[in-house]
Amino acid sequence: MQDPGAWAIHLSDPLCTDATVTGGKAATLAWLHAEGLPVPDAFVVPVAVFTTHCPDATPERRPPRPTASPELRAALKKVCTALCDDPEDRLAVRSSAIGEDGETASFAGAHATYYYVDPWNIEKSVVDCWLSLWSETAQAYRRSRSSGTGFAMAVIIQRMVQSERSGVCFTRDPTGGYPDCAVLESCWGLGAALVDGRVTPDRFLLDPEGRIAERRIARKRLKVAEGLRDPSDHRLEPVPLRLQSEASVTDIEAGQIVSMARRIAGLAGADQDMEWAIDGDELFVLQSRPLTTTAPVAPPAVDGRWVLFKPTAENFSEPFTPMTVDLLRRVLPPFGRFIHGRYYVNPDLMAMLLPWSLDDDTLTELLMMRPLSHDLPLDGRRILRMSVLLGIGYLCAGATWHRTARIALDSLGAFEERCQRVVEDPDLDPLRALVRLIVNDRPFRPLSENAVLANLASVRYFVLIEVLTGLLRRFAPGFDETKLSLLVSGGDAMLSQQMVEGIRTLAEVARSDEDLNRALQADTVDLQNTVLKLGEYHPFAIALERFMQRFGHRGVRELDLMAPRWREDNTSVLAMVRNFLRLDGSPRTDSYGLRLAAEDELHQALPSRWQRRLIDTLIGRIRYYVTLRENSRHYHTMAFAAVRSKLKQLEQNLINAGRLHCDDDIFFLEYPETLELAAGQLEWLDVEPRIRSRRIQHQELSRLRPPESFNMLTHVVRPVQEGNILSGDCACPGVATGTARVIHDPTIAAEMSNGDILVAPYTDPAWTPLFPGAAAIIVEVGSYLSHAGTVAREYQVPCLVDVQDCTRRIRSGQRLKVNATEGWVEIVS
Amino acid sequence: MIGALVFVLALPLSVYLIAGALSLIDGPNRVHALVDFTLRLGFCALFVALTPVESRIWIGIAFLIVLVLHAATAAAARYAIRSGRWPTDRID
Repeated sequence: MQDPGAWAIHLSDPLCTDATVTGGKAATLAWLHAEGLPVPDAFVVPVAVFTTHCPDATPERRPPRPTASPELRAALKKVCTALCDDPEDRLAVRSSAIGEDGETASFAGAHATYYYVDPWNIEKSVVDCWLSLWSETAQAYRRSRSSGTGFAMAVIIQRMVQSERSGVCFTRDPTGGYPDCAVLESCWGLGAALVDGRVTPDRFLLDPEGRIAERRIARKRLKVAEGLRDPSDHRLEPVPLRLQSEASVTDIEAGQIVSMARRIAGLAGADQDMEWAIDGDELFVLQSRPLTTTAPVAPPAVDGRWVLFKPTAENFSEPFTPMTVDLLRRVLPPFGRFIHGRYYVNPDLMAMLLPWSLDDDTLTELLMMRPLSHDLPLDGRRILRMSVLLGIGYLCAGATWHRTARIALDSLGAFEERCQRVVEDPDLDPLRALVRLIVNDRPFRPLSENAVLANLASVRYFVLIEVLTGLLRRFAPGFDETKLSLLVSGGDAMLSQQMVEGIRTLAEVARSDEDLNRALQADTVDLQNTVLKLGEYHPFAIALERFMQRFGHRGVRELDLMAPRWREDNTSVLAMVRNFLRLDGSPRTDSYGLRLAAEDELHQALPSRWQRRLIDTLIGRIRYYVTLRENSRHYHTMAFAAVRSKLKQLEQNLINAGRLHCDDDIFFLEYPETLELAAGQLEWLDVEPRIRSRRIQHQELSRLRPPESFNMLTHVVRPVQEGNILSGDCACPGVATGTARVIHDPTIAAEMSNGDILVAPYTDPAWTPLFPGAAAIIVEVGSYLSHAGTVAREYQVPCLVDVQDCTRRIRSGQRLKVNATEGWVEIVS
Repeated sequence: MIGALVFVLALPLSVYLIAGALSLIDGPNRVHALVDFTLRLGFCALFVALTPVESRIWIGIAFLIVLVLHAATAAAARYAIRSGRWPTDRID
């Protein structure tokens, strides 16, 4: 090792392509460099230097921290001089262990990488890189793979690319969903934010011909700054609002990146997972390795039988964050279990309360709130058991059940005051605040202060709608049952509808100001700044403030505590106004007039007065419960907003104390961990790896479809969606034909026109403003009582729910024919 | 026999009466709640009046049982939540 050249090898040196000399990653980079691909200039400190400095290193025994030898120092000095033209230039120091980035083990994220390293402080980073061989993550990864590869590490010293945009590209969908398509993920700034799971990236699917098959633009609030000078600085910085919802790469750039990844795959003869960055207009390959995770993550080993709880699953597709799970599990009754961030219920417990003898298929379908195609056989023993259990329940809590029968819709406002009191009470920590707001632990508290009970009361709907349908078949057999959905729709008291009217009002105010109207509809406008510039006395600012006072606690994915509320970030509301302006927002049908006509028709079909009276009473009660369910959601999300504000306060305190470093990291901790952080029993270094791994896991889980059940003997799989016809459940009957608009996030520019058919993965209130202009709505998850169904009935827009894979199978621009009444949609062209 | 029948009928009636009493705090229309409670009270009084004197004790017993069960359920739930014996299981 006396030859200085042997202490650091340039990427162009043929020796560098030998993985036994320079480790897996460096060898690949050298090979890519030799093939003429744009790899940033680099030198490699070979494996032999590591073995010289740590001669007795074994996976089990971590040696004392080695000191760089004079030869290594001299070599590093030469490397720095060669790579840095300017004193301001910085370097990246990257691991390249034996076996790293191989076909059997990637060691992705297991070893250290250091960005923006000062050239004159490079020795420390090289030694730190070596020592990361013994990091907890690397040890765990090695144990899980037991690949038998050698144990040593080379270190890559590379010119730091000023990544304005970066990401990863898989030449094949790693989740197995689209084996023919390449997947490109991109974000602003350095890709570390993406790899760490701190940023939800933009996602592009490109077919074998390089055409964009799917484009999902995410809200990218944070980025790792591209011009970081001091690595001790806060790495993450907010992305300018204008750019947050903008695609971080153009379609042309996406095509170029994928084509480069496919070229590498062709050369290597295996599918690749490539990291890339764009500096100015220049594209760089930072890393490429064989795709090691091509199968979907195996479902966890779970004991017991569980079925997904549809009412939470239909509101957003991502799993809950660890903090939300940890807090909710302390207040939810133990009838279920959180599995991978999703709530599952115990089907056997539920079956005890049903009078039918059910097989697992039927029980799963029932709990997934899907209509059944056959009658269920009543079972005498089960009826007896159910009666006894319900009787005992009635004697123990029947008074509360009775009280929930007539909660005045306008009385729920008391819950708002209660939330306000809880937020202002400094003695209440987040957990106690949640208990106080969600759990009715005091019987002498007005029910109007417990929005969750109001929500539970609305399950009477299911019984009443069955009774109504049965009676109508008997009393008025000729009456068109598809009009039932119109008859029982809630009317003006429904807050979701009032929210749409609020957005409509905002759009009308914006439309009356020509400049504002034009500015809000522009594609590249920074919506928030445009509105800020108006000043607080502008009619739009006043209307917006009034809207926020009423609906500011709501947000996208609002049941998760991490979801920002509209009053914290009004971009979503402004995007909805923009969508409304673009759609021209007028309701497609006069649902009020239609409802009156349907009522007249029903009255004429009913022969006697008492029958009319009975049916009218039933319809009135059903309307009340539908409205109560939808409105109670408006109120109980206030509790989530209140708890979130408490958590954000706690997070700010921890950031001020230096125990947390990044916005929203608190949601990837568990509640006791935050208390330990606050008490000084844990420090940032203790929690940082936990946050990182949980963020990555959360991202991975978000990409997967959760299993509907565990350990259930289900034989009937939902009809496989083949050919051009997809089936689903009717939430609002009707027939429509139009152009598909697949929208994954309602807060991103919706690009919808009046008469288009909205195709969505799920719906929550943020989607509502898109409904009035849609010809029909198709939703991947949902049920008759889900938000999509309820609001679609208000506007009498044909709506199909539970249409599996619709956001994947249907592409924007395709012509669709929807028959919601019969439960199918046809892709015409 | 009549005592047993009275007891069984008095159980839901007691729940109904307690619900009426608690509705007084639910608001916002207190007058409506008071009228409703008075009607329920009247209905119960009628039931008591129609019950043979020797069986009326069963009405009292039923009412007490329902009251105790409601109080015990509320107290148990409150205790379970506050003592941390409530948590739902989870698998990460």
